[in-house]
Amino acid sequence: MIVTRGWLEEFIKLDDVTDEQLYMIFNRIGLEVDSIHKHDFDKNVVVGRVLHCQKHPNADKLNLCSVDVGEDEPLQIVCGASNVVNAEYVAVAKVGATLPGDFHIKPAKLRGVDSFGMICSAKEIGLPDIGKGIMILDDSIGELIVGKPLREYSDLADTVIELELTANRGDCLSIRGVARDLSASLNRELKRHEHQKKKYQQTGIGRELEVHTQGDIPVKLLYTLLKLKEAEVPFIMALRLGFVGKESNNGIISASIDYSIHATGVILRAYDVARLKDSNGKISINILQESKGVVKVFCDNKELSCVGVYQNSEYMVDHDITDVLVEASYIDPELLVDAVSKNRLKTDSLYYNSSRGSEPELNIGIEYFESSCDCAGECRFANAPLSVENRVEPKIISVETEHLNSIIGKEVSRSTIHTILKRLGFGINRSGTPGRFGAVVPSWRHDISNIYDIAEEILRIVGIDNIEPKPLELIEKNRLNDTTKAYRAKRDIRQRAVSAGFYEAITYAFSDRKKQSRYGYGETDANVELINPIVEELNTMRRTLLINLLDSVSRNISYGKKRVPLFEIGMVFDKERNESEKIAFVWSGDAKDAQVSNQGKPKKIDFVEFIEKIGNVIGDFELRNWNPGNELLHPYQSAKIYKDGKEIGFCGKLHPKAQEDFDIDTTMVCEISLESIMPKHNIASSISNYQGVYKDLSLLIDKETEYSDIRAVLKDANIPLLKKFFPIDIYSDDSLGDKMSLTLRFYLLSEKSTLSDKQIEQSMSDILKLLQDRVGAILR
Amino acid sequence: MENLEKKIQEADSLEALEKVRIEIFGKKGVLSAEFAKLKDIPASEKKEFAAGLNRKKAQLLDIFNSRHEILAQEALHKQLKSEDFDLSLYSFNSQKGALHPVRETMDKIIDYFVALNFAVESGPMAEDDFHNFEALNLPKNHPARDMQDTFYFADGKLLRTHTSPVQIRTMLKEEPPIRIIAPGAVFRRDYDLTHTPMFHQVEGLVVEKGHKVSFANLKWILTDFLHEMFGEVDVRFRPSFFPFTEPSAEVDISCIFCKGSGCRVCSHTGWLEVLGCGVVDPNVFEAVGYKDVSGYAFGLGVERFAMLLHQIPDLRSLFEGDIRLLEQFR
Repeated sequence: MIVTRGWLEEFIKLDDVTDEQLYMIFNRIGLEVDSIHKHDFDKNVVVGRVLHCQKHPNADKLNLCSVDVGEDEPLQIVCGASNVVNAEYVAVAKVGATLPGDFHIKPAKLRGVDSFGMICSAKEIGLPDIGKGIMILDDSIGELIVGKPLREYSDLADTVIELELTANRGDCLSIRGVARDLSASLNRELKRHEHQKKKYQQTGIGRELEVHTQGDIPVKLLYTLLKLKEAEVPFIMALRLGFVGKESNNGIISASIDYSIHATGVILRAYDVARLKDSNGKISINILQESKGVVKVFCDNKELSCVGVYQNSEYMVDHDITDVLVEASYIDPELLVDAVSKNRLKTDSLYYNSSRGSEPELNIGIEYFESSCDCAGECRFANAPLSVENRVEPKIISVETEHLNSIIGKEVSRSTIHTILKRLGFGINRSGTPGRFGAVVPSWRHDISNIYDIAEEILRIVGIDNIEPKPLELIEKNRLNDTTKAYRAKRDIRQRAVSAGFYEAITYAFSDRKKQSRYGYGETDANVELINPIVEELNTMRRTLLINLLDSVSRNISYGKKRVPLFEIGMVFDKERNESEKIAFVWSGDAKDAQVSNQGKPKKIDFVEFIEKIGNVIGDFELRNWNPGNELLHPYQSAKIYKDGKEIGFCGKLHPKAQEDFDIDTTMVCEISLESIMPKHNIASSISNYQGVYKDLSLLIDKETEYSDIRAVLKDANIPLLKKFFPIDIYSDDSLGDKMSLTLRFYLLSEKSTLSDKQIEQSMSDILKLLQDRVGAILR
Repeated sequence: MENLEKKIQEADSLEALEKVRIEIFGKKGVLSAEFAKLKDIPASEKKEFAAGLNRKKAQLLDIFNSRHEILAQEALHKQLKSEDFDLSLYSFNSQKGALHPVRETMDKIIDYFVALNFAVESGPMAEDDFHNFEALNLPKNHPARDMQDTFYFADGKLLRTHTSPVQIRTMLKEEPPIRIIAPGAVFRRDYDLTHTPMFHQVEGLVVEKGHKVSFANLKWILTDFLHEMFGEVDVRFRPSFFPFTEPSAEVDISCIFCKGSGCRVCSHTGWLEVLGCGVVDPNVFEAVGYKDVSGYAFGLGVERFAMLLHQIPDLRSLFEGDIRLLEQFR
């Protein structure tokens, strides 16, 4: 919403309020200022009067003008604009003036003729572009005095303020609406727009117009007729429409309609009378509600408009039409918005205003329109407009002052509350109960429905700056809930990942359906799939964190990074769109940065180094070989990760095909369910007072035998003294044929006594026998 | 005897000195030979001779000891020197990773509120219309829904457009008093220089029984919070509009770059918008079946905080895992 100070002053006295103060007030009362600009002009830009004008002797398109600028002699000025011929009062930049863009006016010779200044277009002096050629002034901005600097005309040197309105403030979509808010803040009266009708001949409207309604019509409508002769768009109207970014070149009716809507907020529409009259010269309007909230206006069988939604372009007023039927309308925005959505109605530009709540005081709009036409030329009005009104009882909100103050957190006196509400157009119903009153909501504030809404009005007008901040007294309560604990644990995990060398990444929760399928992640079920993705590459929810992370790796490689360790904690979605939180790691390229210790040639990350780093983050785990059978992971260098006997994720080397797709170096990946690595509560067991022994066994086993099988056998056997075992060496060569050598280290310990040689021997022979029987191991 | 001193002084290594020691003080050394002469000396001179010899011996020992000291020092120094190693070669950047600035900022925000006895809550990303809109006083066709372009799923669910549905979920499962923050990812269909389809918010909600919670309480906590996050800045509350709070406000801080004098970052206004907040709208309480309660709520964008705090120029770089950015936070 754009307002200008000059325009606001039609409705409220502002001469003692500076621009700076206006800026502050607007922000304070919740009308956020987007921009504020005061127009100003060089003192040498003055009102000039074109005395005469003739063709330039040497140039067809140039005019030679004699212009009175209030000096002893008129100035000779060459002007290229064709409309100078009809101009009387114009803006002249005299020699010495500086125009926007650091343009200095100097005496010049144009096609051999001297020129002492420039007749300006609006754009040339920094005003909005309001029509072709030079700017032609008229007395709508005040008495034109030849030689008077333009900066002294307040309507030209106006301040233009752009406000960003919130969705609830339809009532401020007009100059008058904004003035009304200011009137509450400044505690001064909202002026009624004064205009003395020149009282040309008035016609009795009844002879020309009839309005019929069918059934219940939940809208307000007001109709009048207007004839206009020899009218032109007054300069101030064109200028102000320019300030607020609207056109003024579509004829006087169109300009006046736009001007009046912007000034008052009343939705106005004009119809071409000639196209509506029947054979008897009468217009017969029919109004009916087609369905809830869809109210249509007909003339005979011609549909003219749908209230608040659109107007039939066939009966619109174009440039030359001056005999018009004018309609002002209002419909409850909530009713309207539902109707438009339900019936999928096409809307025009005024729908924005009507859907946010246009001004329901229709006569204000009609009066403003009439007065602006009246200023434009010779007018003939109807004596009294015809109205259709659906009387709605005003909303009354019962307000308990104490409750109101408890919402705000400050004692605002009852009289202050009443004054503010009255300035905002509320009525006050005093009730018998002390400390309580009824607030009668004005018709234009459809957004006000309870005491909290009233509190907001009081708060913004009193000013949040005037509210003393107060800490809330609270009752102690343990709020260390599971989510808070989980959050802290997650933070520790992230910190460990960072210590292990990984950078934390955040990638979108979306992914590319095709890409996910290629790497073995099936498509999401159609009934839970995203239906309006923003781009093709983000057209589904991610099934894994890895693909996005690999894209990040790819980007980092393209930026010249040789070592790319990343991790991410984030939500992934399964086929049914169930969410689960995962942590994923990738490490691509070099294991270390190039440095002296590796002679600048760091080795590539390998599985062993990678999995050590993962261990630093997630603690002990068990790997079981796994062939994933997709093109994301290496078929022979991948494993499922188990913790406490439960599968928690997987890790492995990136499949060479994927490596090629992403155009990256050797890469290791891992993805784990986050929940499975959350810290658990441990119970300590007693520590033996006796010494244990380590014993090694070197065994020959089949090459195909997997260590995880051996481990399982040993674990299941539950050998009493065996506390721990782990592989320490593997070896194979041709001489061993299909076998390989595996050396295991066993830790034996008793809680009851020092181990005797006999006990040790017995245990080791049990172990050996077990392995011989179960996995065919032979002692080397 | 005369050149014994000289011999000690001239020994140029611990080994040479050892030889000299044996030559002088050894069993077959010069001194032993001199002492052996004692037996041939007349008794009357014996005492004097012996005293002279002992003096001489003590003198030589002194010289020897100091020489030994010097040579031992030299030898140690030589050894140390031989172990010379240019450690400055190894003053490389650590190979530690780094936390993401958005998550790190979120951590800081959570730290503040947890210290003020808030609990952390969470909720699903795929939400339904009721939790994301309807219960938050955003009925269908509400103009404020335009502000939030929504991702929808085929079954009518949607990706939450804000963390506010967590408010609703918490109120539906618990009774007041409630004091929570809800950090998390949110989604809007907007993708350009200053918008990404996913970003992060932290939402706060306080509810107490009775008419206890006021806008003044909200003003206190948010002013204190912003001072904690940004240091000595001015805090400005502007009345605004959110469907789920009433009265509502937007909160600005004085621009941390130009100190309020106006610059490109603050669009020459001197202020940076950082928060939205308000007193909880009674329609929200009604939707969750609360009666006779009062509360406040607030919400903020974590990326915005992170970008301001760390002067990160490009929003989209935060979602690219770009190590050139991340390694600056080691």
